[in-house]
Amino acid sequence: MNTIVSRASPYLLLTPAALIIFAITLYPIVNLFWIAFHGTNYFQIGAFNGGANFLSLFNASGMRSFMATAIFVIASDILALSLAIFLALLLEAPLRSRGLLRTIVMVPWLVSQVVTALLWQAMLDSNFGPLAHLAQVMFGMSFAPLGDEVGAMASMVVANVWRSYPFALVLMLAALQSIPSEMYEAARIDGATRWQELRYISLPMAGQTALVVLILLTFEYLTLVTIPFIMTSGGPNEATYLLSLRVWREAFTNYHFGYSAATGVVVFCLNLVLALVYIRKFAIKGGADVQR
Amino acid sequence: MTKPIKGNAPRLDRRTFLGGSALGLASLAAASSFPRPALAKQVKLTYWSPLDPKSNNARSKAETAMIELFTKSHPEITVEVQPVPWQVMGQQVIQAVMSGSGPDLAQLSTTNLPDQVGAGTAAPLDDVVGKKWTQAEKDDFILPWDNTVYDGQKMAYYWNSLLNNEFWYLKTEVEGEIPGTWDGLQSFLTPLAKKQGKPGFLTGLSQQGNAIEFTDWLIPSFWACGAEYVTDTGEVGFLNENGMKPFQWILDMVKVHKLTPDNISALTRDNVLDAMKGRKALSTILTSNIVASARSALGEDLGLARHPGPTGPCPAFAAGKFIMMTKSCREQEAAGLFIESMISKEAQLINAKTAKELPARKSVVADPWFATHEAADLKFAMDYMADNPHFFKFPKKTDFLQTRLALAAQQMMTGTPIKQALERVAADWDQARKA
Amino acid sequence: MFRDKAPWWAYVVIFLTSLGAVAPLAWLFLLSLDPNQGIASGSGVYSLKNYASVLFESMMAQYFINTTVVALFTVFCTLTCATLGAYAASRYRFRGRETIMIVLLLASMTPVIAVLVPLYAMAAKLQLLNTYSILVIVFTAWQLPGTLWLIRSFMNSIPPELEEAALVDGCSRAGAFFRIVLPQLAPGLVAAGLIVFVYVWNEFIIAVSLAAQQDMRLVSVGLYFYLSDFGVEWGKIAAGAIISVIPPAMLFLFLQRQLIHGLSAGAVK
Repeated sequence: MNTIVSRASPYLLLTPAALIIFAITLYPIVNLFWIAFHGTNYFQIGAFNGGANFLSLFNASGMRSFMATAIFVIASDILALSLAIFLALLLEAPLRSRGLLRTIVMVPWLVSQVVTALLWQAMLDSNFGPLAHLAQVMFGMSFAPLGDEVGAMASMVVANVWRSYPFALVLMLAALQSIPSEMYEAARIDGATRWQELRYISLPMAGQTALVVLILLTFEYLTLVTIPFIMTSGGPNEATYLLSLRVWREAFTNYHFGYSAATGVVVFCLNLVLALVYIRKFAIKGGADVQR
Repeated sequence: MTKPIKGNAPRLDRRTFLGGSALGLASLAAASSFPRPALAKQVKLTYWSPLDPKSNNARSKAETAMIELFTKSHPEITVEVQPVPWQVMGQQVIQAVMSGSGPDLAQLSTTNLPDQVGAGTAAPLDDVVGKKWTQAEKDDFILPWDNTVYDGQKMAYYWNSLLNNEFWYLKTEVEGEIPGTWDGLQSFLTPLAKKQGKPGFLTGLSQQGNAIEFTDWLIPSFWACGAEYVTDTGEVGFLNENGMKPFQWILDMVKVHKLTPDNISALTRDNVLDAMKGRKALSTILTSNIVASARSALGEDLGLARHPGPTGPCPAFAAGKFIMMTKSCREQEAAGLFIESMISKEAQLINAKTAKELPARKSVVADPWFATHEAADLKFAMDYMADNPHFFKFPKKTDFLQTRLALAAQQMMTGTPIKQALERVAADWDQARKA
Repeated sequence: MFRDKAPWWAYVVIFLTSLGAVAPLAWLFLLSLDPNQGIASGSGVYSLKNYASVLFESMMAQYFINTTVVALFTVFCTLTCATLGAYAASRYRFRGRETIMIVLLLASMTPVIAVLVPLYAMAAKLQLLNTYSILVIVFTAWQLPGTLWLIRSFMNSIPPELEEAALVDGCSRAGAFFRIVLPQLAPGLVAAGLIVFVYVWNEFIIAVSLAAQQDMRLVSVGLYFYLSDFGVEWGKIAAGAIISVIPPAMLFLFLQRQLIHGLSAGAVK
């Protein structure tokens, strides 16, 4: 009797978590795939139509969305991750009032995407934004970054990185802190330079975390919709029409739930591929070395 | 789709307009002398409005007063107002009604009605509103009766009227009469823009808010050029020489005459409104319902004129917000009474006086208040709509077509030939219609 | 990287970074003090009118209550379920352990944006639209996998010997858990709780889809709904935005040390 209970108990302990997670994610995903392969009329789901809904993605506009998503995600990843690593190394240093500095640097993480988008939209506004004003006063030129394709994408990346890199920074900082100080001491005794410490201790030890952070950031960026929705509406000329925004707009502006679901399936599959990499790199390894 | 004024749509020249007003007024007076039907039980109605009753602005106050007018005469009915922003109202109503948790009533923009009907969220009103109305009362609406009729059923009533294409300008910087033609406007504005060092004419091509900033003046420009937005058979009506003209005009304003800045692709209606309030441009084209907001910033300096077109002013692009009863509504009788009250002469007059909203009914204009200076902006819009109307019924999925047109204009700004961009719009539209 | 003292340029870089973090918000604060509705006129007139308007002429206070309630319940549910699960995954060996953990993690990769419509339909069927419950359930489901993994690795870093000793001394499993494991787990729980709290506080897409009705809105939804057709009222939005940042900022200020400690002790390595 006792053994049955103790055999069952780990499963019992995991049940609440598993139940909630599956209840909320499994049905919607199955439903998503179902809708993606059916014709739709507003919310009504019609007959099976093969892959017809996916065709809406394979035209000039769809390709722009893939392109925009790729640029947005990669640019944001590179910027956010390098900033996070660089600043984590600096903030690990024995700085005066380090706690305060860490807090200040983290502030944008506490700002929601809605506020971030509104804030940057206002800052970049060509009528009353402070940057436009500065450009006018100092260089006598007009400044309307949201008005051209490159500028709009760049603005969106900046706003997005501004809000999202601090959390990556915390994770990197945590990773650096978990490196035992004995390793540095040993290196110092061996006469290692600062650069060598960085090259042979800090970076390799934190490298695994960097990869995990990279993947987590990519997930977030791939499914992000609030910032483009509010800041650029996908424009100009669909230069910032991310796949995620497309999912939203096909459903709620164009009332093409089939197209929306098909795009959603594509985003889901992109996520899945990343997830598999994540699991291979992190989860299995992490799980294996903590067997007790 | 388009109803030219000479068809069976109510004709709206000045004389019948005023005549209709008087007639409507008389019948309304007669109607209001009947005792109002009261419901036997306590009833609660949920009403989704884009106006937040807690908000401290004229429009919200006006709507609150309109609702009070109703609840005073119907103490057995309480109305709960739930504000939902207009940008998401259409989708929210569809979602909520489809899931059985919709409001009883909702106020939406004209463009939303075909989609609400298409999605099956609107309930017919034939049996609940204006059952005993005479033809004269039906003709009392400024917008055609049939605009809200689908398959022979009345699906909504206009809550107000809107004039989508008013030409706005800064009086102190733009002196003299605004020419009615594109060419005239261009040669008129060019020296002024140079003198003031500001853009002569501003607009925005952003897809935000379903691109209304752009399409509100594009669609009447199509009409003025002899093209259509969408034809009777549901196809695009601008894929021709005439339909290309408005695009050529704005391109020339940007590229040739430099009267319009070249970074307008991302500008939204909010941006354009802010720019006008901040006197950053000499003129633009905007909607009647935000005149009051701009007046509070510009005062008498805001001038209004008719929308210049290729050979003379474009037709007035009249639309409106409407109230519909949803399929979720359990208290249809009460909902009907509510709609009748909101579109009554008294309520409409409150809205005009407090919020400077154009009334939905002609008879309201007979009120002496409309002769006062306070009502000048409304009078301007009413006259424009009466003199040069072009009523039309939006197609289903118009939001999609509008955003595609704005995208086409953005593409033209970066060098895509007009014809090619419009062909793409037509192809996308055909695909969307058949989906 | 730096042994004893950071070089001067480290201070410069960090100063610039801090400026980048704070300057936009400082400007937003200035904007919120501008009483001219609609446009920021830079008139040099300052007042708290926008704050008064946000706090007393809108439902913002209600939105704060809603968000706080939902956030606290979500934190509680997430931490409870995650701790139970993490305890099982850390302290027991059982068939399918890693598979279960990985499948749970996979579920968290679902793109929110893609499942909004089905979620909405589901909530409607269960009569849960516009309730605290649906928000708590969905947010919990979304935050559980990450939290579960975080707490599990934190727990792995706590040596089991003390617990084993307690068990030998006749303590029950539950007793050992509450007396020995939980106190040591505290920094991990604080870190995870803070992350969940900030997530709920800032979430928009789910909240706007499942609880758009006015009396149930969360702060970020309320802010978005400030966009009116008068032109955006920047002053009020700015005031609302500033107010909305204060609660998570206060929490973070107090818990900052635990966050980094909690993440570094377990966390992602």
